[in-house]
Amino acid sequence: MSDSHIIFSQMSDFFDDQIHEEEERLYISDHLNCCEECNSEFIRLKKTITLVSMLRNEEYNLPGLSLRSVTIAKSRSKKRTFLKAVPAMAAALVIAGIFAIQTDIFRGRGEVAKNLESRNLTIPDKTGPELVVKMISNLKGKVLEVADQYVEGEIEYHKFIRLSRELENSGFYKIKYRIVADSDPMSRHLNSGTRHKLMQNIEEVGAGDIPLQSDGNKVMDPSKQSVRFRVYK
Amino acid sequence: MTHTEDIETIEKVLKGDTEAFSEIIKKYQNMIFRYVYSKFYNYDEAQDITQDIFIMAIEALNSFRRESKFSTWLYSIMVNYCKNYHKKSRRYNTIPINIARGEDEYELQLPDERQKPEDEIINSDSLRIVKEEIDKLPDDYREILLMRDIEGMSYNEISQLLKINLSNVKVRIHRGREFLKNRLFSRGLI
Repeated sequence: MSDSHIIFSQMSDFFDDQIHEEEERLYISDHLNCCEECNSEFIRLKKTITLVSMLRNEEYNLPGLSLRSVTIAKSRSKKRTFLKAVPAMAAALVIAGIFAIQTDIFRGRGEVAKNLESRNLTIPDKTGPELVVKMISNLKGKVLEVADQYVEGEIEYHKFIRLSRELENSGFYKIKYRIVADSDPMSRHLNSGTRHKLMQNIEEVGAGDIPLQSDGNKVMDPSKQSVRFRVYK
Repeated sequence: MTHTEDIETIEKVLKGDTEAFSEIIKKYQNMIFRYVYSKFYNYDEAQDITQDIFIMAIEALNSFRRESKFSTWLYSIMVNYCKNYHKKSRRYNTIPINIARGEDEYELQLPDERQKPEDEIINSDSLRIVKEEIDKLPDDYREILLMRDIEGMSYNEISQLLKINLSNVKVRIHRGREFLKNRLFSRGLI
């Protein structure tokens, strides 16, 4: 080491403890103690750094900065989550659309049937006699006979209208019925042979408007009428 | 708030408690604002940029590895943001002006000097002069003195943040300090 003055960069390194050689560090320390000029310069450096470091305590007026930043970040996060989900939602919609087109989900039941018929297919039989019996029972009607081809029953006239609609909605396309007077002894306690003869006269109509049957010229009271019917698959 | 407390707060944020980040913002807002203002010299703009930096930090929090201090990580986001902002806004030739003037005037809260028994009582005038002289430093020196002598970062941290080698860090620190010391001496402050 020479006896010349310590250069500023050495002082700066010395202040920051960046002199790694012990010998050099000791030399600088000794020199600063004995050289007035270098010592003064070192004191000025320390004062400069002290003054600058005082600025660390500076506080700025930044009202609402934290709340604003957090709110914006949260809102952006929600938006990003939504945007990430958009492709998945779009894909799901496309798949659902394709499925709907392929299965005619948007068409009416009749069109589905036609479509199936055109392809020589049949509607799955979801409408067994059990369902018909249940529907009749629910409306407090009587089940008279359950055959392979039909279910025969009797029900009050005003309930028959509802039953016929429910049957139609359930896939039963053919309902034969005959209106009988409630007091008609023929409508009570019939054996199967008699009932078969009777039902041969049942006219075939679709569900919907049910005309009152007249007895001669006298129109029968609807509240006293019953309907005997057969429901076919 | 210590480094451990920083980490605890960050864990909370990562688990969905975004509001917890408010504590981090309150702790570091002065540090961030000081640097940003030293770059752009516009109070409102510096506020907006500070806000953007914190939002960016929240959004990038997943990428924070616990290898470095959180403050260093945050500082790196800030340095990069300011660099990019500079490029976009073409503000390289902004002339430094006094922070406490006109529309950019703000409240400067200084420490209570009465608690200092030494004869070197720092008054607000002294600090104003220091700030004026820091503003006159070339960008590179001002930035590095801010990191080293105000924020107290290590040479290694500065080297990583500014992506310059240690020798360059030292050279800039020496020159910045010497420049500032001479200016403060000439103004009779030291």
